[in-house]
Amino acid sequence: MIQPLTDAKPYTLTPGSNGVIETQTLEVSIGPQHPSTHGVFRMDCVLDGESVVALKPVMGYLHRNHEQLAERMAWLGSMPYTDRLDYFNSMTNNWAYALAVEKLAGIKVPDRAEYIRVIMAELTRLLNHSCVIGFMLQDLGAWGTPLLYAFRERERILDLYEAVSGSRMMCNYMRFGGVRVNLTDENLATAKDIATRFPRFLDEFEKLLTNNEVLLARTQRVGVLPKELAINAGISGPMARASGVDYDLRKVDKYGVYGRLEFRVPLGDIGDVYDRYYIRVLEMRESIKILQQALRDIPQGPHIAPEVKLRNFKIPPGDGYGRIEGPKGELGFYLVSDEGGKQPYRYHVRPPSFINLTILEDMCVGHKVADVVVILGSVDIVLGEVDR
Amino acid sequence: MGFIGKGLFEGMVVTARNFVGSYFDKERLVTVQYPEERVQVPENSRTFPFLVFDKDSDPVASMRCVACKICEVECPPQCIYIVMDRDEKGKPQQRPKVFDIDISVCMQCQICVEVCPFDAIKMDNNYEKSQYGRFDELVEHLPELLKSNEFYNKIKPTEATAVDAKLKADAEKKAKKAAPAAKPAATAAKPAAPAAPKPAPVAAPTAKIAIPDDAPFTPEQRQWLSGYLSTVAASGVAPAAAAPVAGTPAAPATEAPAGNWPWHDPGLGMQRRLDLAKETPIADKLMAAMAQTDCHACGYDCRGYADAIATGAETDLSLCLPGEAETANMLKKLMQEAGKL
Amino acid sequence: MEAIEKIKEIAAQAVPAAKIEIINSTPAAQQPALLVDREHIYAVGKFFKEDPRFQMDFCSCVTAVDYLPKADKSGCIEVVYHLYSVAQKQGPIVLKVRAPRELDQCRVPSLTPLWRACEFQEREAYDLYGVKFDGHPDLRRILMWDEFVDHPMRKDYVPPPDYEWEPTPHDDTLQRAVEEGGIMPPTAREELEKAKKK
Ligand code: SF4
Ligand code: SF4
Repeated sequence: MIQPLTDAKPYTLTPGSNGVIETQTLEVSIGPQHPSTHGVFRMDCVLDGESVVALKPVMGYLHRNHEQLAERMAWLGSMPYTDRLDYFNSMTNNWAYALAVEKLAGIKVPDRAEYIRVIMAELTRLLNHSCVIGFMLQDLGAWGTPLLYAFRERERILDLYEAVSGSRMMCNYMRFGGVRVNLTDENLATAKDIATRFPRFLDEFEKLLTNNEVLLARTQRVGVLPKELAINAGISGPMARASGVDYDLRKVDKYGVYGRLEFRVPLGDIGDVYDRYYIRVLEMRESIKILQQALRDIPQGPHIAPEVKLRNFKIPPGDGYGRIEGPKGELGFYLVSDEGGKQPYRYHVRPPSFINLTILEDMCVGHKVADVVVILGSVDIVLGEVDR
Repeated sequence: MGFIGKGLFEGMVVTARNFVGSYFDKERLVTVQYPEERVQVPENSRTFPFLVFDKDSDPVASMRCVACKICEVECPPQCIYIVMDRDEKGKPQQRPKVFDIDISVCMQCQICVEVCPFDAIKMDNNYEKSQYGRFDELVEHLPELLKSNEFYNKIKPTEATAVDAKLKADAEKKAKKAAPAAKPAATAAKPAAPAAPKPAPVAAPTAKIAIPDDAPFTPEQRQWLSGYLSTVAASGVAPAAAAPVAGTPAAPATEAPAGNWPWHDPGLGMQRRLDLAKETPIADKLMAAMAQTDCHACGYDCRGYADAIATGAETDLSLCLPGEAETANMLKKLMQEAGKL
Repeated sequence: MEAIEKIKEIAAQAVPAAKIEIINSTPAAQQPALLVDREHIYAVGKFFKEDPRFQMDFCSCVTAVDYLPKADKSGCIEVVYHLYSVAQKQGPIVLKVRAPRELDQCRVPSLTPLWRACEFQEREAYDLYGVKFDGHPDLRRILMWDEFVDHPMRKDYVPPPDYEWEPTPHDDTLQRAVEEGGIMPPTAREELEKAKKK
């Protein structure tokens, strides 16, 4: 029989022998089907009331053994698969793989191709950072507004990608020794147009967000990542720089033609979620500077090294590691070639967002469960890359 | 710093401006009411591959694909399946009988297009391909895959024009190469001439010797050969100059202009080709065992691959994709016969 | 940074007991590695991390490679660490350590106590290659599910049959799907049966 509500006994809390109410910790599994996990990702949280006591990330739901697939096909065959690692930034993934292979095989890339790569990579950084901020604010409860503003801007970049490479997200654009198709003047004009428009969008975006009291209250001093821990845990990209780690591979390795371009590396000092938000805004501004220089300086010439064969491409035995500064951090490829050299013997991806998750627990412990999603949002993960 | 809530207020102004602006400003309103409205896709845009044919009257005969299977091998997710067409006698027809692309697996990467040496496969830009099933419905067969060159020109004008120009230039070059090839052959007596297919008529001192129609010669060659043999037969002198040349490995075959080897004709069967190359050095015999498509599937042309095997630069005997197992086995056999294996 | 021979010398001085060997990369890549024996990899790693000349504070990439036994040499699992220095902006120093392929002997010391960066990556190497890292605080599977038994990235791993019928690889996959009762449309099954009878 269902008791009428009025008859229900009032629930009382009885203090224990020491006068304190005894409570239990609660284990909550956030995800894998949760919109704030940016895909199929799970966090096993132990909560004390609302605060996080422990948190273990659980991943692998999207695991498809990308590395083994690559070890079963020719070098070129994995290029389209790298698009699907971090499906937001296929251009930089392509570049990282091409760079690693070029390093192993000792291929010299023509100048124009290098500039095209820089242009594409910086456009990718723009679209990634603006969307990440959008997603993070979505997790904060800003609903779609900032995200859709970001998507509107991203649309222009994707249109350019489609016009150049044929596809909006799965570009498959880079080749060993260059890029697949040359940029036409029309494409360059579009890129210039994007570069001139983007600051306006950024200004608007910042007006919407940077001083917003709600954003400040929710993000400042939340999920602090100390500098030493960031270095020790191999954190890279905007996340490390928000903690004040001065490490940008574009400056350190000077791969491509970054050595010739002038830009600064913004650094945060506290390493909280707000810093990670703001560092991305600043990085976008630097990216625009790089874009403008690259568009100004791009030389004429071949877009691909002519001696590189498309088929029957071989690499002498040995190994090597090539890495670039992807929008999410250091994206590296460790490749081993053995006798024959027609396909990778070992193909390993060093995915930045996977390694950046290492310290998720450290950042979340002590915060409220509602902050966990914000912290995760500020890490900037893409599950295609985490799980591979 | 202003009052508390200034940031919020400013944000509101931004959203309000966007909201109102979306009614007037094209920049702020970017959505399209699909499917009533459609955006024009850029020319480069790609979805799934299709096969190009040249003549509307006979798509199957005029398709550019020669079933060399390069795309089948190179396709990263392995979604292409090709069976070469053969006539009743089992002679390869240089075109696919079955050409399937499983578009549920195809990842639109365009690698098949890039590796095809014959410009036979290109990317479509039709993005509306939904089906009611996920098995057979999503496998495209030859009839669906074949699209005309006009269609290709329509969807990708710039690219198609360039391809057309390239193909035309190639054809012209080939024709030009074939034309002078006949002339020097007359003086230098290239291996091609003496190795003519079983020139039994030589014995018969008829005035005119006809070269069989299916013999692998260009019209010019045929004319010359016919004349040559006729004069030889008429004078009653054996082609003295020619006979020794045929047997000597002295003349490195690579010097001969392409297309001047009698067996270099994909229309001939394997046995026929080998017969034609019977008296020749090992490299030529090996070459005769290839599929003769010059498709570069092996990384060389037919000549180059044969030379590479003969010199030992290439040890893999299974690289000739269009020749399938037949060629691989024959290569092995020939190498064993020559004592090189 | 110094030449690899010099680095090797310095490391050998610091950890005298360690057996260190140089392994070359591809000629173009020029990233020679130091192969260190299992007993001393931790000490060598610690030295590179703490020595002021190197200060390798950033462990970028950790992975394993499976070398099958060949006619002339026995197989091994090689764990590769790529170290960089954020403080001095130099690198990489590549450390390699080898363990036998047999699952029960496939153990190497974990470098997670030195670099947190190794935590997930060593877990991944354990998951996919079966390398056990002694001293790892939390060595569990990371990408595969917990009940999974094998280590799928090993070169001799045989994947279980894929029952889902895919038209693409055609004949043999199809054949297998029929034999093992995979999912496939009825038409395909009929056709295949017909072909079999013929
Ligand atoms: S690569 Fe060969 S089989 Fe494939 S479409 Fe081109 S000609 Fe046909
Ligand atoms: S586009 Fe890529 S996946 Fe599709 S058939 Fe061609 S090579 Fe295969």
